[in-house]
Amino acid sequence: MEKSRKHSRDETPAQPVQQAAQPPPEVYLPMKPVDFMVLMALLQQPRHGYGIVKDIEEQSRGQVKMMPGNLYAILRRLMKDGLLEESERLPSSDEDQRRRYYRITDTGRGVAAAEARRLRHLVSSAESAELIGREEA
Amino acid sequence: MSGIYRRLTVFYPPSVRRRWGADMQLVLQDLAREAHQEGAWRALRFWMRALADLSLESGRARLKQIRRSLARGVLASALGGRRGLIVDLFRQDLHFSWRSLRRNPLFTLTAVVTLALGIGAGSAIFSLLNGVVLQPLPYPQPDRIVNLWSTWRDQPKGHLSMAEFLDFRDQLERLQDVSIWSRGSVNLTGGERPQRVDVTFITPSLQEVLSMRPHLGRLLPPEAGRVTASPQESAQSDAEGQGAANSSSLALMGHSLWLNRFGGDPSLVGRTVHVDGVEVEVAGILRPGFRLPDDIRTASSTQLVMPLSVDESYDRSQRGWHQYSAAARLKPGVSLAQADAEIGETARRFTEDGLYPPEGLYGAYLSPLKEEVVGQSDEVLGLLLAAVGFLLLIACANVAGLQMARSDVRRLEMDVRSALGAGRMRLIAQLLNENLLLALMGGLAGLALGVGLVELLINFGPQSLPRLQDAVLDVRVVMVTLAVSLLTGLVFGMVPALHWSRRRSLGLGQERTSTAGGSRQRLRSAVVVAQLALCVVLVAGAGLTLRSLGKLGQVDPGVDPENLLVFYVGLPQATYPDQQAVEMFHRRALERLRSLPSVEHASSFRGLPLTGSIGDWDFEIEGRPLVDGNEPYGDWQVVTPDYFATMGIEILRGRGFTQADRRGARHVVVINQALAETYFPDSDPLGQRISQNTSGQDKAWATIVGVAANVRQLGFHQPPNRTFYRPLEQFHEATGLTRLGLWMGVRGNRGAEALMEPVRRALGEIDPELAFSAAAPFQQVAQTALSVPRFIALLLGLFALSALLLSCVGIYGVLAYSVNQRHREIGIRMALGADARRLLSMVLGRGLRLSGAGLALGLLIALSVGGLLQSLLFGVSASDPLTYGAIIIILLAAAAASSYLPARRAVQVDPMVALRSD
Repeated sequence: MEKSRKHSRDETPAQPVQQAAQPPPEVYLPMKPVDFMVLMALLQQPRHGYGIVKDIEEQSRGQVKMMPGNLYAILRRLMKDGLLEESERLPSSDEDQRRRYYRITDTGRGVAAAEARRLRHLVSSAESAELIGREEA
Repeated sequence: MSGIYRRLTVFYPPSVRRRWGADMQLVLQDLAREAHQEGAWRALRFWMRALADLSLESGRARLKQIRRSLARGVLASALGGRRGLIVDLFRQDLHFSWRSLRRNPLFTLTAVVTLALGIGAGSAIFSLLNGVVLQPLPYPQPDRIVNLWSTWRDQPKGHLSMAEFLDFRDQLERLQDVSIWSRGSVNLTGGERPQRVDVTFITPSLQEVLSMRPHLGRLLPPEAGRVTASPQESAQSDAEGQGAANSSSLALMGHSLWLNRFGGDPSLVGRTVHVDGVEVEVAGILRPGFRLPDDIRTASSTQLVMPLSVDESYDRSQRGWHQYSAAARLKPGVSLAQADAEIGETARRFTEDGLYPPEGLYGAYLSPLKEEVVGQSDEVLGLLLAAVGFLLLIACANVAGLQMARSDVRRLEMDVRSALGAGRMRLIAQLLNENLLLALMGGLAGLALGVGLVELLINFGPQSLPRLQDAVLDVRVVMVTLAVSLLTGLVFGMVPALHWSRRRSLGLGQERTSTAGGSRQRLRSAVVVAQLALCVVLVAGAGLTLRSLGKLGQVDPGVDPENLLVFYVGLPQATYPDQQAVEMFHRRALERLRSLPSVEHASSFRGLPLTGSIGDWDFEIEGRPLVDGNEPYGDWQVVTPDYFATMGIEILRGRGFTQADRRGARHVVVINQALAETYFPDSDPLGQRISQNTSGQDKAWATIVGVAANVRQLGFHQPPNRTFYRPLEQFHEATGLTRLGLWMGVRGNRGAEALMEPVRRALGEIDPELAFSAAAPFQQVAQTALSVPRFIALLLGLFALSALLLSCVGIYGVLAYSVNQRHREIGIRMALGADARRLLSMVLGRGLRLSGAGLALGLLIALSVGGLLQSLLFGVSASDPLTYGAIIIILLAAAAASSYLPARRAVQVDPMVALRSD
């Protein structure tokens, strides 16, 4: 019988994302609404986890309240897809030094824009079908 | 809490935890701080959500990891690599567990069925609780909606009067959209045959409270229902609401009525329909599935909503007629306690201002809407949930017992595997694996059983349980069920696993042939004792509720339910504009009904016995000065002459009503025994006079001519109310009020169902436009009044039976095991000449000792928690000696029966085989 070895568990080394191999933004569409909101939260500036949660809460007028487990599952996925990355920004001196900041990549920005265009198209279809008035959009 | 959370992150794969754990922890801390600032309730909800989020996401991450490893593992083993080893081991274990369970089909089946029983019953009852109690009401922010109540002497919870509503609406600053409504039924005519439909008259602000939206058309405009009518007229519509005539001509129609009667025709909106003979415009159609709070409570669907007439110039010194349900929304930022304090203060001011006599103890308070809608069902369902909790525990104990027995049997197998090089952790993992598999199978089977049970409960449960139809086995229930079954597997899988591994650390195989198995045996005995104790508690609960049901069944409602058909007739005011017209209808209708060959008696009356309060009325007894705030009062029943014979109510003294007790004749009244005992304890009530007019000059005294036997108005479990009966015509004359809606009762010489068609035809001859509703044999009315206690007794009975069966299996298991263990010892004893009878009594005695201990413990628990049951019991004390005596006999008999089989096996031991066996 074979003896088991201690280090048989798989470890995924953090590999740098290769920009050149990025597929076109359309591949990621349609995005899940929360994914899109996370990207939106990072458009202006890098944020830490709590900052992202608060921004999304504001974007959704209090309707979406994210929990850490869910948030980091999304962050992991978006980072794997190369839409986000960790920012070099360091926590300020009065903050917990373990805090990490995240920022949107150029690919992420492109995907978010493509998604926004897709949404705009959807809304304008709803308007031409007179489901909602134009001023509501 | 954060510490627990941190520890719980171990469920994440280590790679994820290392990389993200600290960061997640920080976000959690920030969010937690925020939630704690918003109060304890928010904080609790936050932590519940956080834990759910953690378990879900860590589970997902794990699954992902396993999937990845599996993919790699398969690949790796194909390449001969070693990366897939662990995955392979895992799969090997799973495969092995499956094989080992399949090798012992009896064990597997017993364990799975046992678990399924506990989990199935548990998930079904939890689904009911979930649907009926836990689910929020179907309105936005339902916890901001409150009911308003009046309260006064002897009346802890009363509706509002018009004046109280107007005052509260104008004066309360912490509530918005204070609204009232009353329910009634109307005749919908035009088109096909007339239809009796339920209608709710609302103030349009209720649409804001409930955030109603139309499916088609529009809602009632805010000014709908505002009228200028004399107080006399608005006081005339009483609790059963004859509303069409006194409300403006707009209506909202329920979606199902619109579909069923009008084929879902969208052009109905804006058109008129005939409601009680009056043209009413359909303003809009309500959304499908929309229900008003009362509809949820009574499991009906809203058919018609019309504006309630509110007279702004109403004379606010008229404080009577507490007939309106009321609700409002708390203003933003206002808590229930703050608003409640305000309404209480306002009500006290009413008394200070002289609107109510101080002795009346008038007050007002708020209660959450949900409390009103769900009512007592949380108590009932909580009890049932506790019962299934016990059942689940008993089931778990059984499985644990089975496992322990099995782990002993398998120690040889374990020793061999260990000797071949399996590590300790590996063996424990193997056992755990098996248990988890077992628990999952039990959980799945239980879930299937639960789905079936929920279906059964919805169809056969009491319709008086609000929102019963809403019970479904939803995701939450599935999650809870799976969690319980996994936990069961882990906990009880651990016991034998740890047990085995400890034994092993003592040295391999040292006790292979030992006869005692000491601590193990004690542990199993303890489990059986605990199990029996739980079983006793369950059986006691079931026994008490069954006895209580029996007592309820023996209660004499005061009405003879045989061959009695009842139905409700509401006369439209358009065709019956005055008292005489109403009286004429009832005289003609009753005459026509009595002329039917199968009918013996027929009469009309105001309130149907056994179905709930009909309201009370203050009166004055001639010759006794009225004490303000402490007037005599009684339920007021209005009837036609043949009433007592029709309902089979005994006249104890004097006489009932005759045809001579009509308009213009000397006014008479019949009182019931309860009223006679309260107000005429030492004097003869017959010949004395009472008046319903306690304030005015014109007393219209009525002479008491008879005392009738008590009738249970509120239901079997409530004592009869003090009641007085007035003849319809004299009631009209004395009060000036018109009774448009009345029940009618017909007593026949054969079954009540057989009366239905002839009665319908006969009434059609009198007024073809008339619709009558709620027609039912009175037997059925009585059955409905018993449906909730019967439901509880039935379920508890089923649970207790299952518990008893499981406990028997438990006793059997532990004895059979000990006989097995002592195989050799018994063999030696027999070889040395022990006689069969002594062996039999040895094993039986052990079984009975165990049961005795369990019984004693169980009785102790049952007697101490029995008080919790008291509020649901009727006529039985929670420590009823008869019930407990029966339990002792039943349990001892069951214990003896389940001990007998192992005992007989002990006697049949062949000494030669036993001695050679090890």
